[in-house]
Amino acid sequence: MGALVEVRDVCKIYNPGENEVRALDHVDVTIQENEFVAIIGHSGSGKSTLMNMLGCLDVPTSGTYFLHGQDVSGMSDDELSDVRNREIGFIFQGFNLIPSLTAEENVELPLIYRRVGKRERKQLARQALEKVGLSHRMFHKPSEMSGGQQQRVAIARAIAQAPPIILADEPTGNLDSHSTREIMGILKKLHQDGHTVILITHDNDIAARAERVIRIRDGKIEEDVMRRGERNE
Amino acid sequence: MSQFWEYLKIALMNIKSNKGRSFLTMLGIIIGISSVILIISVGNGIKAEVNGELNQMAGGQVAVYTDNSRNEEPVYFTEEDFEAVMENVDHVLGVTPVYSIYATTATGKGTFDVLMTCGTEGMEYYSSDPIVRGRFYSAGDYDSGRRVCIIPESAARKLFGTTDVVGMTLELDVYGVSQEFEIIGIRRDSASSLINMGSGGMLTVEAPLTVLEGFGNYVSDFEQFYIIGEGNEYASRIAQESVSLMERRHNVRGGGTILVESFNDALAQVNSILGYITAFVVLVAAISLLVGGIGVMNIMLVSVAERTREIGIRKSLGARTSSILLQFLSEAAIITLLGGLIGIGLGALGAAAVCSAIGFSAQVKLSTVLGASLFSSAVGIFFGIYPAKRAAKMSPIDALRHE
Repeated sequence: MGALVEVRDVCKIYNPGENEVRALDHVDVTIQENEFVAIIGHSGSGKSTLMNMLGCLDVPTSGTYFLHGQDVSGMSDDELSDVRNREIGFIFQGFNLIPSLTAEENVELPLIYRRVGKRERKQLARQALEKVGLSHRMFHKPSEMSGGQQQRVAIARAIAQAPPIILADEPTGNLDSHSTREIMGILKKLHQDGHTVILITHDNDIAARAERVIRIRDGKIEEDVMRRGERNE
Repeated sequence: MSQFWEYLKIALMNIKSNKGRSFLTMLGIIIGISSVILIISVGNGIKAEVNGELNQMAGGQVAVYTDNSRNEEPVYFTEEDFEAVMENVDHVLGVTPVYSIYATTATGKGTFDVLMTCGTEGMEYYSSDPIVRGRFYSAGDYDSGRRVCIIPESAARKLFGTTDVVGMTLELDVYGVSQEFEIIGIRRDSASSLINMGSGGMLTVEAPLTVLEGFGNYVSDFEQFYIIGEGNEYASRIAQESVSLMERRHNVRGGGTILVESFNDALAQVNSILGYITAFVVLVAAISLLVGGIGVMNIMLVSVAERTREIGIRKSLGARTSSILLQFLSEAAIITLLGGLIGIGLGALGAAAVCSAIGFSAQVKLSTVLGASLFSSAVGIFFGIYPAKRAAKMSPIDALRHE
């Protein structure tokens, strides 16, 4: 069985020509199922580009990306949408909830695009919100919740349809230390439950909670360290 | 399907949270649709009223007349022609010329102006209002020139104060010659406002044409006569057969000398005038809908710009291009459909108000309502295409980065 994520010799070049920017420069990454990986780097290091690539939001200029054994690098926009829907649960720094929808409706969104029937959708949404401890705030709008709660709704949205990969982009960047601990606890728990968690961050302390840390600088992988020992800490 | 309901909900929610803006956007559509509904409903009302009037006045009637402008030997119709039509053309109730002459009469109630309408015994059917007392004059009365007459109920009341006047005499004075007439029948008053208007409020009296001889006014050649058919459906056949019969009898085959005009022609004329008015208003409404549609496009572009981030979120969660397209298209369609429904309501109310002011009833047809609803949503979809495409084509990364 192949790796879950297999990035081979991937380059991403913006503005090809004179002022070209090599955001990713011949990057190779392999991630197995049920890993907890942190990708760390300063702003401008190329970590956001890598995250867009891993999240199938963007395609590489050259190289190949196999996700679940499927070549994603040459897919059309609609095919990428389907892959995102099926394979990836996003958690963003800015929460990215739709303000006019309630927590439950936000969690239902990916299920709607997956054409899950209404009854099943409601049930899955409720289960996901229960998992993040927010079943009592199901019918509240994002504006009526704290940052930590909003991010928990976003996590519920990411796990509602049980995608293989949870892709978290600076999930604690907008949160206080209490909420940060809470969110990191949930991510760790998800990992223990069998999810593959990829965490993008610039914060060494956050990255230290993962069992594997990939350090990226100037579009190249600088360091890739396993710390199996942390897992049962 | 579940997605579609979702879009419907989203669209209604967005419209609700931007009430003022949505209403202003709808205004152009409301004006356009309501004016179309108004004019079509009023037009249908007028058409129905005029149809009814004409039918009552001249249902199944055909007028045959001559155009002698190009003839060296002018053609005139005679009593023999009328008899020939009665004998040779099917579904004919009566054939008569109509000859009107002014007269005066004096009774115990005063002196009155009278419009004397004269013809053959076939004139019984010229008016569709029935004889309620006595009888119409017969062929015998006509041939012998008996001085008999038929008056309507209202005339009887004015002249004598009662409608029980059969057998009484009426003295009619035409250009200084006075003759006594026996009243042998009473006709019911016409319900048609057009007919009552036609006699200018004067009293009317029907009498055999032959009585005019007694006034020194002998008429035997006619440029025009009327054929009253059994119904509207026979009018065109009667017209055709009568013309060829007259052409044969007067030996003027083809030349356009003998012409006909039927009730259907008159109706077609009224309808074509209404058609022009409707076309004009529809044009104005179309311009209003065009402007309204551009307004919808504009507001949808604003909405797409405002919700760029939402589009990014939806795309990152797996929304396809078509899902985003459908979401914004249905929002545009719902805005214009709502505008259209409000327009239909206002138009129907306006039509009812206008028609009750003129004095007949407006007709709002289901087909008009359905057509207007469909058309208004089509406007929304058409003008929503550009903004929706713009939303659908956004790259999820750029859209997510949008502040």
